[in-house]
Amino acid sequence: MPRLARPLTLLAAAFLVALPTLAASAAGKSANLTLVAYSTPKASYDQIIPAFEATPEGSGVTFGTSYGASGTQAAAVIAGLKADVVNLSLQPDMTNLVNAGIVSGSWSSKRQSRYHGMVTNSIVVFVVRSGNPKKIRGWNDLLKPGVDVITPNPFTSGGARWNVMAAYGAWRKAGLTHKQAVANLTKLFRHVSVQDTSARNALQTFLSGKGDVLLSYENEAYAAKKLGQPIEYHSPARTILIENPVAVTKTTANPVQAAAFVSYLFTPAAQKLFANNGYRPVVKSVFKQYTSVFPTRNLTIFNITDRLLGGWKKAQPQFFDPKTGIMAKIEAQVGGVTG
Amino acid sequence: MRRLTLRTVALGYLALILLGPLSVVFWRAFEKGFGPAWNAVTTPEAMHAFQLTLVIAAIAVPANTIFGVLCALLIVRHPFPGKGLLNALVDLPLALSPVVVGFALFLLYGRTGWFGSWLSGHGIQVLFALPSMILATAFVSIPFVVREVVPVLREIGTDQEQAAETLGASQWQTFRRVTFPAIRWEVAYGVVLTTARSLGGYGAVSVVSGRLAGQTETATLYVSDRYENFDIVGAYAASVVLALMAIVVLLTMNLLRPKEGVH
Amino acid sequence: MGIHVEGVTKRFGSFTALNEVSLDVQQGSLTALLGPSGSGKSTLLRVIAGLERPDAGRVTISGEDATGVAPRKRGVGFVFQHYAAFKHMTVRGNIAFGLKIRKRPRAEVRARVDELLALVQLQPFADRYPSQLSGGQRQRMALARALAVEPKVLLLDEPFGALDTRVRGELREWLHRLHDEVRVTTVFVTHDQEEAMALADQIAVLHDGRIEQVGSPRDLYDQPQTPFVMSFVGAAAQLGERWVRQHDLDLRLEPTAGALEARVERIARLGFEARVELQLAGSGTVWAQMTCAELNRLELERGDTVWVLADRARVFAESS
Ligand SMILES: Nc1ncnc2c1ncn2[C@@H]1O[C@H](COP(=O)(O)OP(=O)(O)O)[C@@H](O)[C@H]1O
Ligand SMILES: [Mg+2]
Repeated sequence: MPRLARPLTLLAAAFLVALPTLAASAAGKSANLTLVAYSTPKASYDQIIPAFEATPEGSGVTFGTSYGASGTQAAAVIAGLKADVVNLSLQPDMTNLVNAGIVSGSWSSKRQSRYHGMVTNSIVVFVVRSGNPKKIRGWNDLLKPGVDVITPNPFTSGGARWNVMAAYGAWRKAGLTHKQAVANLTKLFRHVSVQDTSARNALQTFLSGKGDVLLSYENEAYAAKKLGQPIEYHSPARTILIENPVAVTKTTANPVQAAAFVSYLFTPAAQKLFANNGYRPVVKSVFKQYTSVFPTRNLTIFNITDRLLGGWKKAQPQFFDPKTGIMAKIEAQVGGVTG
Repeated sequence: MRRLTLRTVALGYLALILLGPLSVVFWRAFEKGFGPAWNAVTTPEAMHAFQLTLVIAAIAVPANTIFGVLCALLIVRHPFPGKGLLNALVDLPLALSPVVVGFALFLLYGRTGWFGSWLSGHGIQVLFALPSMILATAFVSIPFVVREVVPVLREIGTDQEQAAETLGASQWQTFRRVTFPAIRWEVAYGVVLTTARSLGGYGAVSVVSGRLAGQTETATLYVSDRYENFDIVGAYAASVVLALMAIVVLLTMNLLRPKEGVH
Repeated sequence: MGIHVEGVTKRFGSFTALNEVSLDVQQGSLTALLGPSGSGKSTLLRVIAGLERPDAGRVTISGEDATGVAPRKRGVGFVFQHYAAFKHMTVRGNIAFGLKIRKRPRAEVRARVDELLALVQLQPFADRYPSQLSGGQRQRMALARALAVEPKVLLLDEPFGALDTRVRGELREWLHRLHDEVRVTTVFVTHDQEEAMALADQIAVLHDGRIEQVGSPRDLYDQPQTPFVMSFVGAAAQLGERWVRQHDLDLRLEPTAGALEARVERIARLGFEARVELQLAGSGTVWAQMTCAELNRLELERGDTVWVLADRARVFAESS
């Protein structure tokens, strides 16, 4: 039916031509900043952004925001998601942006060098049901028979990588060899029943009633508790210090405003808003005001740069290379996703 | 007696699978009264999400209807090499995870993708903007019109079309006056399914949208965003609006449909 | 003038449905394409209409080469075997279709449709849908639809095939009268030799994609040129090399010079006519045809021995 095909094909072609035109009209001219962040700091930014807009530097600046799993967000930015400021859950995701030419290689030293580009801290905690019915307090309790553990998937979620490094580091600190710690990690993931894509989704899963313990950011646990959810959370005796990087992109059309916003994030005012939402402030003076909320006593909080972990530069490929990493092998054994 | 049991089982199943969740959605939405629910769905972000969803459907559905009918005609009426492949390809969106579809669009339209670099060089943003969301929606909803139309095209055969031809009708006249009237109810049903899928699509759109709040957030993304941020009323109220949209589409369809048994 | 088919070959894949077929149809004549199922009748008709494109050969309609011309420009009216009624249109809509396509003025369309409704006696059913018509009514509607555009030639594919015997007879008569009235060059397909004989001025016998013989009904019956034509147009019996009409078999109760001995296997009385199955002494069986009166006179019974005389048998030069 060549003659019938023609009008229909023309119509179809018209649609294809119309798409880019629509795109052009959809991409507005407004000089606003797009913040692309990982899944959990939305509540903080919902308060910080209006506060910034009220400052002289922030007047006239408007914001678009996007929140999701850290790895997914980084991939989206690499694929072309317009971003002026990125706030990811861990350094390797930022390194990916550096490698893709989107973020300057000196992001951690140039701005806010005192904080190495880390805008918030947190620690890995155990979220359990009210009253802690399964009496889960230490890392070894996770390996007990019948304990159902929830953690997101380390191949999409930054929070999950922190969880893995916290567990591994804690066991090493407790005196286990690398081999023994990896064996424990494997055992741990056999107890994991659901691996969501992001920390926030994992929290949703846990709050819906699934699992006995959720490995989570302290700030997530804090937020959930504040919302009146029937949970409590404890820090294990040994846990990792989570550091969340922030950076201005090289591709931004508004570098001045973007830099001003990032600078603002390190002001006491913004740091307090982070703290009110459960993040450990990176600014020492602010942190001191919150010691009752964020316990440090009797806790060994180690850093990713600890000798036993070797920093993200070593840990990222060693644990999270999708093909050869330790976690890739563990996921293969327990049937998880590594893509 | 047996019919009674059958009916009980069928209705019971429907109630369990369909009505149960649906009524929970309505109940949770209006738990705190009508006011909060109304406020939740009339925020600028919510309104924008609904509007965006409708815009996407308004483009993806007609496009898929035209492509769908064209595809069906090609599959049924024009034996050509690779026809089996096309036939299988049409079903792909049903088999493929929508997330995979999203990532495929990444590869094509991403900054370094096949078309992406050229397009962005010309200032055209496809990914994380309306076009990619339309493409993703169109992709996942393409099978419905084709699958509805193909069997009936086969069934009516070519006799009527050939008769029209011998009576002097051009190909287009034949389609408009003979083929289309014979398939219009199947097309309509396909449109309903396509629309429903377009309104409710999540996976692929979530990947390619970038989830920019108030910009590239469709209704379903908005629902999940509300839910993830513990705004239960907002999430369920928006779900109710989505459900109502779907119900309106289905009712319209039923009103248009001829009474059973007339020629 | 009329229709001129020359050396048409049509293949479906490796299968040859028409093998160098040539045929002349006189202006205003009524021609039958007769042959068993699968012999290529419909294919030939469709080639004439342009619905199939021949692999070789030419088709001329009213003196114009139509070989590469689209069906809609050939000026043919085609009546499909299963009517191909437009199901979503009324009878009136169906008949008006071709005129509307030609964008004739409304009033003219109306007048012409009314005229045709009268011609095919469907006035009371004008506003019905095809599904509300009987088979015969649908067939007449299909005819009126084809005639509405005043085709140069009318092509009918097994026009009475799907109807019961009584309606078929009526419609056959009706078509005959219609043809006398309208005088449009008509070709119809049938596998029923009686139908072909009763209606057509000219019959073309098809067999395995070839035309075996073309001629008047009388020619074909009296002067068959191949055993196939002989046996397909009127029943025939084979006695070795010789072919004979069944009613030309003469049964004797006594041994007769030149007669073959046979045994009566079965007797079938069909009212006026009767048939007798004979087992020949040499080999093979034949049916003999006679009137019941004659059968009564012979007083034949199963198992009787008879002598079969075939004086009017034919021998074909080269049996195909
Ligand atoms: N479209 C087609 N594709 C393949 N074979 C066909 C097609 N049309 C007809 N044939 C074959 O050609 C032969 C002749 O068909 P046809 O002309 O319909 O026979 P008939 O004499 O019964 O009308 C048959 O064997 C039929 O199977
Ligand atoms: Mg036939």
